[in-house]
Amino acid sequence: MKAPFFLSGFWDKRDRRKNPAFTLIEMLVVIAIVAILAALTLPSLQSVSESSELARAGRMVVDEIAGARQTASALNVTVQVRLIKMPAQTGTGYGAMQIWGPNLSTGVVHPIDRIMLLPSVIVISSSASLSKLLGQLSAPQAMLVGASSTPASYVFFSIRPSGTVEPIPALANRATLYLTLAAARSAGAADTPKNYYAIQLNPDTAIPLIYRP
Amino acid sequence: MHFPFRLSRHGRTQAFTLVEMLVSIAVLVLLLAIVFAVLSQTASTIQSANSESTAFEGSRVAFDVLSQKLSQATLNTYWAYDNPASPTKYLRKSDLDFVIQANGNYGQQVSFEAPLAYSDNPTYGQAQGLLNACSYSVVYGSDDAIRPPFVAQQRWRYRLMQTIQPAENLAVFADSAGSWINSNLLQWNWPFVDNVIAMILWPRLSKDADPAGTQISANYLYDSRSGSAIQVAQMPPIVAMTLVIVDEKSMARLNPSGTPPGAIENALKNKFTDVTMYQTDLNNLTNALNGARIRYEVMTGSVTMKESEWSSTP
Repeated sequence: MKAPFFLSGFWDKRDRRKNPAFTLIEMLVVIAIVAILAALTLPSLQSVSESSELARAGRMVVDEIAGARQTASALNVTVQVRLIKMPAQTGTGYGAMQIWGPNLSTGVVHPIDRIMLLPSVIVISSSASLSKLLGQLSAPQAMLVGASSTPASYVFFSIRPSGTVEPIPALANRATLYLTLAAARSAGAADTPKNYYAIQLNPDTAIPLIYRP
Repeated sequence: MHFPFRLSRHGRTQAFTLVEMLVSIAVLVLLLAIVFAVLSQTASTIQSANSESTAFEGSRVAFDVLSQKLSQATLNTYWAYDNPASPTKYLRKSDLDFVIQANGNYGQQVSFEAPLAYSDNPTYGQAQGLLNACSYSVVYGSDDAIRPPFVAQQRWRYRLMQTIQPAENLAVFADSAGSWINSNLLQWNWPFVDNVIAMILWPRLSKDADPAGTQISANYLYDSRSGSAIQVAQMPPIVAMTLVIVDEKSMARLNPSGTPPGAIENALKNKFTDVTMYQTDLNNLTNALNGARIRYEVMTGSVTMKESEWSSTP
């Protein structure tokens, strides 16, 4: 049987004895196969990494809200949880969060922690159906972030010392206090993304409930 | 550089053979597999430690908020003639209620009034001290009314439900029998915290005054309207509260639906009806949960009723 040309190196015994090394062509073919396999698996790898980033981002948001609740209860003040769209951020959604609280003597709000940046591939969706909480908040405002002269835009909700979430929803809207994190590339789409991390706040305690597909 | 092994056998340099390559790749894969196993083991250890510390985080907050709200309960007791037409003595009276009732297998439920100033009307909401009728009970059910509409998966869970009737709907005075407690308060029902399988409320005096805790109530139940003479128109000074909470992972593993999970129901069955058996019941419950490999936390605390002016004479 005649071997294909690229296998001749170890197929053809005579050839092999003469020159037992791989030929350049063999190596190229192997590299090509590896490249094709890599290209095929890359998209699924990307979704795996996106999913782990999503879980990490979700945990970060949950921790930030827990931090806000603890701050509110420890200092006995109502704190703001700001959802921030950074100036550098392209596309829709909120990619950062920060807790603000009033100065105990002057009452002027100031940042309580550093800005928490979500992993760059994940945002808090600004879709009205995915993040219904946003619909209850007042219009976006501008804030300066770091040394940048371009203002970032933000919206905020508040947590009282008792854990009550402000704005207090009307009875009929108690179930609407939720935000959804999703991959930034699918955040603009109207339909529900395949993978999401929805965080629903209890209106009385700000305890988050987590929903994942 | 030389490759002495090859040189001694053939006297000239040689490349690797296929077999050598395969062996080296196999060794590499083996090493990688070992490293990966160690790494994933570490990661899962870290994760389980993390989830252990966060699993009951919410329930601790809920316990504090619940204690705080319960402690604000008020009865607004006053003294009045026993018989306004021909009075013979003064009696302790109250138009409000403080009632602890049995709640099936899930311990007790409590109904009371407190000045929580909760209203669905933003204008009323500004007023301080508005009276609300409240009730807390453990209920098993689905999350159909709660979860976001795009979430398909239904979650059946035990939940500690909070009912706070808005001040404008206050039905406490609708009749003198206090039937608001058993009437339809469901429309104001909302989950307070998930995965609470039992709430045990034990009205009692302080440990010094009443070591056995049986003087006010021997069966956990309390009724300021029609209970025993000592209970009428006053609140217990202390309510010892116990919440038994299971973790979300265990519940997700049981994946219950319409009927409550048997493992938990059996563990809860026929318990917490006699205060002298409290510790025994609790031990049996936790043993049964351990046996079913369900992770749980038991939270206990004494809620001091601020408005209680306990008098041991009826």
